[in-house]
Amino acid sequence: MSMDFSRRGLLKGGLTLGCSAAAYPLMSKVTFASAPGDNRLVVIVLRGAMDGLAAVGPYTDRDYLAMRPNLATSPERKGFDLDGRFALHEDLEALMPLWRAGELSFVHAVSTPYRDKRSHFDGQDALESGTEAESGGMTPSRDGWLNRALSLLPGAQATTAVAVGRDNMLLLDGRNPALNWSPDSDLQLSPQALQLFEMISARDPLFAAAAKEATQIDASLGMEGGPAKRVDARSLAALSAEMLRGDSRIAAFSLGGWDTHRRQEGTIRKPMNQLAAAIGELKTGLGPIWERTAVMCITEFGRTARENGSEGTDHGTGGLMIYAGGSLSKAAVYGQWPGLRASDLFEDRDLMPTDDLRRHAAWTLRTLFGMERGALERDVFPGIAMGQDARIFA
Amino acid sequence: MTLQKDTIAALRFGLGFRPDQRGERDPDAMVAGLRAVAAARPIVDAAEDERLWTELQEFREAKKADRKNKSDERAAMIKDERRDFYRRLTRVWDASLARSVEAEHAFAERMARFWANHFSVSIKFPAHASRVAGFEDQAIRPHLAGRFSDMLQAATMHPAMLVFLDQNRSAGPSTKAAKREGLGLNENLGREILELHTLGVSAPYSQQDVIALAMLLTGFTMRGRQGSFVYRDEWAEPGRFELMGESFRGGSQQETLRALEMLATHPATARHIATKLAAHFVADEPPARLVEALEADFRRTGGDLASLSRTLLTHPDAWGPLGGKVRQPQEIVVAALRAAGVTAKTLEGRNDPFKGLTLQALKDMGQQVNRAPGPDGWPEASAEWINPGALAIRLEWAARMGEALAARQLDPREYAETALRDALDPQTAWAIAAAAEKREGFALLLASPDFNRR
Repeated sequence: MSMDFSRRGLLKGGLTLGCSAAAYPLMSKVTFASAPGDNRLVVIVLRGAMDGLAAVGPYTDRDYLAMRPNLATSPERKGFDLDGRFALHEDLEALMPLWRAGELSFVHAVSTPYRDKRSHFDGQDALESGTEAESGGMTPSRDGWLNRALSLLPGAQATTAVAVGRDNMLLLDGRNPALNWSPDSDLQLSPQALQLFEMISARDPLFAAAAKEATQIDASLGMEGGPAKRVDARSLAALSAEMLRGDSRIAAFSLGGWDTHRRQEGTIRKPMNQLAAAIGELKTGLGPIWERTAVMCITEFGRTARENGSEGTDHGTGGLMIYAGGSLSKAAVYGQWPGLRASDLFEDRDLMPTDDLRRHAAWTLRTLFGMERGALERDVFPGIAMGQDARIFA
Repeated sequence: MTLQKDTIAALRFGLGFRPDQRGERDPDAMVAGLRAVAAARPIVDAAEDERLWTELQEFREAKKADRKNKSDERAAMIKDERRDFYRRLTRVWDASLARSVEAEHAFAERMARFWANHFSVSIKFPAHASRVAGFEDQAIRPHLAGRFSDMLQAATMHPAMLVFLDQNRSAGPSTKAAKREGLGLNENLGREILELHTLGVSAPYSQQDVIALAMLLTGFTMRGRQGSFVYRDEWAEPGRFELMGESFRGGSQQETLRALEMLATHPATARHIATKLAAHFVADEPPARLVEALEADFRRTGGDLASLSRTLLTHPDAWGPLGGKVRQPQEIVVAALRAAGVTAKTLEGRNDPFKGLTLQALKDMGQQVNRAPGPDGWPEASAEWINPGALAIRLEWAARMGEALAARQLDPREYAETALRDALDPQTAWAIAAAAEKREGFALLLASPDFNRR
């Protein structure tokens, strides 16, 4: 396995070992015959639990308006009709052109297997680790499904997958090398000092390889006005697009602010605008590559079906996935709608999950990168059954 | 190049040189340092524990009280209480960092870090943070020169661990209490004790052993959600349990402690600890003879940690060339401040010239205090810490640190000599002198392989 090089690593015994060309994957691109293909995947983790029932409102469900006197999304109120059944929240209006172009889709009433305790921490852990764990209070996991998937990607190198931003992303943590780069990353040294740095790093293979790659990335990213002043949705997306135009095939970043317990109409505006801005920036930044791109947005769980006493919503279960990109087959709201009658709800409070979001993530990996079904079911999402493809992609 | 013994002692076994300290080098003195640190006044003593607890309660009560009230005033009050709580926590973290920066018994500080990482606990939720903050002081440090078994026991019974690995909610499946309170067996702590804390994952234990230990641990819980340790008889699963071929009686705290003692002194544990210790201090794949010597010492003494440390410090293979390890972010931050002769006083309060370069920098560099990624602690292998993105963040930190050091009127060439003495490569020294600006000279040193390895 090519990936093992990096782990066993050089420097088992320190500097005395000397240089070995195969020691660091970045140094040994030539040894990889195959390439990871031309498709691109962007995973956006929406932290804090997005209210899927506000983002894509099931306005034709007769119970919906009653349980959400202030927070329902419909064509009459704060929304845009999608397909005669669902409406898109007005704060995501910037995404409507994508819908009309067949480049935006949703999967409703999905979740991970995580149930009951509704903790952000455990829920995100389950979302990113992709494991079977049902109950909360588990030990934080050690690796993420997107990292494990890299093992199935032929010719993956350290720059193939990039976690963008300052947040630690379990999703891409693990045995396989993945890059972590933030839009405001700046080597902050003059070109002359950087040259000196490369010189003093040269005798240490581990540092030399990393320094070379870091300065290259820094230089290549410097072309568009230097590092971002701040880390926000737009700069995260712009950097992701830039990396994906180069050697990277997978990018992941997080957008927060979705924990809307109070006065949701006000508090959800910013995260929704940010999400729309991020997707817009990705499309612009990727240019023609957008045709071969899928953006998949996932969140740890949904929110309560009924609004709460402070015009907000609390932690729920069934949630929403958002897909965007030129690689989609059409614009559609997928998923088996469970209904919103009290008896339809999970524990009489949350949208009932009718599908496992990991299944869709697995099909996404399979479609974009040709990963084998057996390996996806065994190594990436242990224990899932991929079942039928929803054919989200063309 | 043969390095001075002082240099190896300060870089491999210590926290880096300070200009105002001679540095430890004599193994006997370093072992004595373990005793001194074990007996030293903790940062999170009973009074601090109480203050953290009080801040936490105030935060919680603010959240609980007056729930119907949706006013912004109430929201602001909760925010204030939250801030006060985190301020108190941050003070503990700052003090802990400053303790390392000033420490004379640097080897003991390193050992404290090593063991705290061996028994890694990380924050699960705010209330848990108040317990995690005191874990190292309360469960680890007192036993630095004592027996491994005692440290295992203290770590296992500490509320931070009980919560972290879900032991506080584990009850014997056949007990009435379990049925009444809807609890059941949770294997988490039992599994991690076997896999991580004692025998090690490659040892010959089975799922049956995991269940047996988990059963024996039922009853280990705490008063309330965050209170102190308590043994709850009515939660303890009765019966006999076979663990690693030995039979133990359930429903007895004494028997559970006897089981922990058996695990702590097991030959597999000796091997596991010996390998891990050598890998931490010397090289990712440590010299076999050193591991064997440590293992033999552990087995002979039944896990006497002072003796184990002495064996480490007196073994010839432990004094070989430096460079086998990458310094972790916590180490470079402390070493950089030590080389500048910074005192705890400098780091205190609003005018801290290193603000953003310590705790925040650790977060940026992927080693936020009390937030290890899992029960297996921070990764040990060098390659885990150096990749293009990680190096870029180290470079940024080095550049900003360079500005702060330049502002203190230090000379980068002298600073480099202080920090590394004869471990400073002549080429690096040349590059530092060749830098166009002082701050870049500092940055080159702080980002160099010389400084980032040990």
